Amino acid sequence: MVQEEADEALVARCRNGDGEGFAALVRRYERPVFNLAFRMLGDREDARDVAQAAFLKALESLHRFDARFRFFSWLYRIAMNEALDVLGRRGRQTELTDVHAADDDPMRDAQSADLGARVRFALGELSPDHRAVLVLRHYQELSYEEIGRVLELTDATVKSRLFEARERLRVRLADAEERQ
Amino acid sequence: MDARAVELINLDLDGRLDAAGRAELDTLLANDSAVRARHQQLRLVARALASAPAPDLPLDFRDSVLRQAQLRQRSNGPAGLRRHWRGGLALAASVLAAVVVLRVAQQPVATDQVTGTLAPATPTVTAAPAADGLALTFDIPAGPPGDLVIEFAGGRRIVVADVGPGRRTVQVTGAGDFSATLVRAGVVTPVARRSP
Repeated sequence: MVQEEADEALVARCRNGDGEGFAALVRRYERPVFNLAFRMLGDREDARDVAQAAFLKALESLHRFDARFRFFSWLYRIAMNEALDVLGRRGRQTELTDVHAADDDPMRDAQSADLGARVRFALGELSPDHRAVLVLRHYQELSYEEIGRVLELTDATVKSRLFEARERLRVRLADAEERQ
Repeated sequence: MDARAVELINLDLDGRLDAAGRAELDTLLANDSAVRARHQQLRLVARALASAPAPDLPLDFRDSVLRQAQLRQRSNGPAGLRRHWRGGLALAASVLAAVVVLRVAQQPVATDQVTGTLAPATPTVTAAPAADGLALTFDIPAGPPGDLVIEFAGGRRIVVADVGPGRRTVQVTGAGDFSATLVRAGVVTPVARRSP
């Protein structure tokens, strides 16, 4: 049985200038980081750019990584900040335009019958802060404590924001169902 | 709705209810139809979130990241670090350059590269004509899972992810020159030709 090398060991190899250590970290986290970016942004190309930027920033900042913390929390924080920057540049208006355009597009109407598509649209209507906690909890399956480390929030804030985000998503989904 | 009820419902969704909280929620669910309805609705929300399929990772994502990393290390990194990274990342980032080109399809099979073993020290491949193209049979040596990268002349590229040790057959459409490598933890190993 092959034992996978721990993140801490791979990070140490990276810090010692071992490029294979970095390649192993990319291999381990490329899917979750891309997934996180896609759930936040709803666009494959933007998600690709954000995920790539996150890995490169992590590499450049590795000397600042505090080894007392989990590597993936730190990496996810970098990826989330990159995604939030993209959302900030896009602006709220763009997001809403994209979502409402679906109502006039027969193909998208057909897609919206699919629950997954409706969720994606509804997520797109939430604020980035609410979307972030939902993505980290439901797609990355992080605990409250881990979400707090990624978003630099207290556990209490994570809980209240997560509960509020679920409630807003519930309302959006109910609205979408009524419109159909 | 009462804030405590909302908290209990959410904690339940997150698997964070202790025994006392569970009992409190059960009582509310038994006696309050609004709590029951909200509980059910939020369970559906959680299920809806889980129903969205994961997006496919772009095929060349890892190569692209590693190439960028290598470029940045060359231009920005400390001199000592750069030397090490050249050795490590150069292997991982140069998938296309490191491959051994194999000729298949109507070409005669080379006999001087035969390893003839089912547990090779290096990855090997045999190619045989199939209905719509080729059947490529790889023998992968012991070690962690890796990605098989098959590239055809003209740029068509197939990546078979997470391939473990042992025998693996890949059916591909079309025929012609192709090259294959096994990438494990960033280490690129050319796949050697073996006679069928």
